[in-house]
Amino acid sequence: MIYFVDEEESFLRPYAVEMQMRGYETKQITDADTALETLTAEDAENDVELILLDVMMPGRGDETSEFDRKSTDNYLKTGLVLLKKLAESEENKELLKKTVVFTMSSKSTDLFDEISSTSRKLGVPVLRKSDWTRPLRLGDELEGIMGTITPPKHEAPM
Amino acid sequence: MSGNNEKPNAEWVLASELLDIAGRQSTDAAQAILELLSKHFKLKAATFFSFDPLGDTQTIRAQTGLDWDSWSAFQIPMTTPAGDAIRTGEIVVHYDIAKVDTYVNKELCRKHKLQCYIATPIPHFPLPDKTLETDSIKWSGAVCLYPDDAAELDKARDVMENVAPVIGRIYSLAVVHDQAMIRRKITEEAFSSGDTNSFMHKSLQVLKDNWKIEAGSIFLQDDRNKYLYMRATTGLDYDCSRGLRGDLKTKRKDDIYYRLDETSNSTVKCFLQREPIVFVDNPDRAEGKYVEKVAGQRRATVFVPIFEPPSRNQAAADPIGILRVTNRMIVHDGKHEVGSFAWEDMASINSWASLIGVVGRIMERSDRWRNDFQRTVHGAKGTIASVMAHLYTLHDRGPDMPEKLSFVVPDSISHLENLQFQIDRIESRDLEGSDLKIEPVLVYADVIVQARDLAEKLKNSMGIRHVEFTGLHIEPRTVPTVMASRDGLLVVFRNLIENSMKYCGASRICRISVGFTVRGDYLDVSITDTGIGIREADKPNIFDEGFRGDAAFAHDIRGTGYGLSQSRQLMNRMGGALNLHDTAEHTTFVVSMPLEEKEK
Repeated sequence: MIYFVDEEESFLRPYAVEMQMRGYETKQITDADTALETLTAEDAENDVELILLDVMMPGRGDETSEFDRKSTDNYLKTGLVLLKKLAESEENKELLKKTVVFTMSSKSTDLFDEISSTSRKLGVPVLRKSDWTRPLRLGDELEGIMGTITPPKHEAPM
Repeated sequence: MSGNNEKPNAEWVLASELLDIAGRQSTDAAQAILELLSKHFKLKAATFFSFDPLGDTQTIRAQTGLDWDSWSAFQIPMTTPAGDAIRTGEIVVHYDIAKVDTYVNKELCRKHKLQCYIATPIPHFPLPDKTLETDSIKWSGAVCLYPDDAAELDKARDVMENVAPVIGRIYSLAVVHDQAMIRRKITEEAFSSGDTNSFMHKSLQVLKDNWKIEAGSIFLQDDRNKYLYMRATTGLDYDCSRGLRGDLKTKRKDDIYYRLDETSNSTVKCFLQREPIVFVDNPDRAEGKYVEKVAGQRRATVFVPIFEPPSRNQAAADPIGILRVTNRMIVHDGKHEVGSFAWEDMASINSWASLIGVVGRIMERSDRWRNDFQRTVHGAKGTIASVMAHLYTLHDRGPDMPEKLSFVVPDSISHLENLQFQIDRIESRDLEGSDLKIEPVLVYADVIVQARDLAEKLKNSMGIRHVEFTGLHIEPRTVPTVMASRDGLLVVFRNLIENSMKYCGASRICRISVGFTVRGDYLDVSITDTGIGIREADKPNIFDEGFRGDAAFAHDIRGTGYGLSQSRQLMNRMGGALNLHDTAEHTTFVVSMPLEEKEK
């Protein structure tokens, strides 16, 4: 399953369709809390092939949300907060390896610098949406990235 | 005078030499006046006092021949011989000052062997910039001379009465010079400052470097009108609320504030009373808040409200913050000494506070414009990237699987409609600066129908499944004609409907009910939705420019907090109103518009 974590459903539809045409299943998650819950659920690990993560994104918007206005800098950096939350736990290391940041942020802005440095530290590649407006190309790129991910070692079936 | 060999009289010579002082800064001018008088008369010492009508006291501006006496540089009561001269406008003469009861500093007399004394009142010349009412002052201060002997005192008495008006004029000119120089420097800083905070900081630095205050701070009211936040300071060193000294370096600027209900505090009191306050030995120290860092023990602080520029239909401006300055530095015998404030300082600080207020407001507005513009550009880039992705998909994959790509064209159109709306929205800010054309408008046909169509166009790109309007199945002719600007109303209703759509909640189904009611000479159009509602705490602020409630942020992170403030401003300018009437279940905005004359 390829997860698109991005509030703008309609923006991602061409990319999702592209991946579906290549034989992948896709799922879209539109807020950071649901993403955190879904991706860290016990049964999720084997299911996740790739996570395409946006940065500017809302939380659930209620009191139970782990992403408030202050910690996410008015939701400008929600995706980065999510990355850091994933990095906190050893169990999520495999998830980080399967994550790609996919952002609209412009180069040479403070926000983009922060996205780049945080992602670099965690070994997560960053793709800018405006560089990847052709879903066919992005599909090739994502398959390339997926090809380099070492699958987790499972015990051989009996 | 002239032509013959007659010796020019002493007054004429002194007056013409005084004129050379014109054009200097005020503290230099006061010192130069005393030095010039010392050249003309045999004097043991001389002092220049300025009157402070706010405290009904006097303050030293310059001094020669005496040791610096920090007591007299602060507020001195008006019961002294110099005070008598200022109050009565009469020259005060004493041949043995040490024997005068009201002359309290006997130690000074003994030390400097002072005997003869003459205090000349200085007539007040109002400043051209009447930011503070100084017209009621008749005598702005006094020049006190300590002549060597009785004969020299008599000589000085004859001359001083006639040159006093010249001294008054020269000194007023020096104050005008101070004001102009500081205004110019503050204006220069406005050009070189990137944002409001840096401008505020640089303005304080101008006052410190060029007008010699020892310390100062600027506090501005926050969006929610509950606090005065510190925006700039030359340095704070005391947080009396916790009895700590020198720990403020580690404090974030955002954590230094006064609550507006802390009314015993001078900063808050000045803001609420809208009047300047002067305090010697700042009572804030006792009342438990922040004070500026100064080198010595003495402290005189002026609190002046910063007003926002009054708008066209507003009689009086509202204060937006406080400028606080502590200790005026005076040069004495080549050393900087601290002193208090008098009429000319109050007038000057007041005029700069209004300049800082005007420039600060313009800068804040431009900060918000830039922010709004950047967000629009960001949104536009996203839309373009999305449309390109859609079209590339059609191009690359369309021939193989046309049936899977039926979304491409309608989605692309919807994205472009949204882009057009965003550009219209930023373009509508032009209406702020231009005159609105008020004309008869058919609200239903000209405005509501268009806004409804727009909702239909935007819904896909906003991720909304369904938009439903109720209350529109009426005979359009039953809705009366109003007097308004059609463009203005379109902006208002588009903003309201866009808001209803943005905040329609998780169901992504938007239900908007429109109601029309005639109320007196007005037509009220209500827009009610069943969306997420507005939190109680946010209600007082939703019409403030740039304000965004937490819920609004969580549901639409790209908003600017501008739509409702713009809509209310537009309605006010059209002679109408925009108000919130909401209940637990619904949010209702009511747009009131004046009826056309024949409809009344």
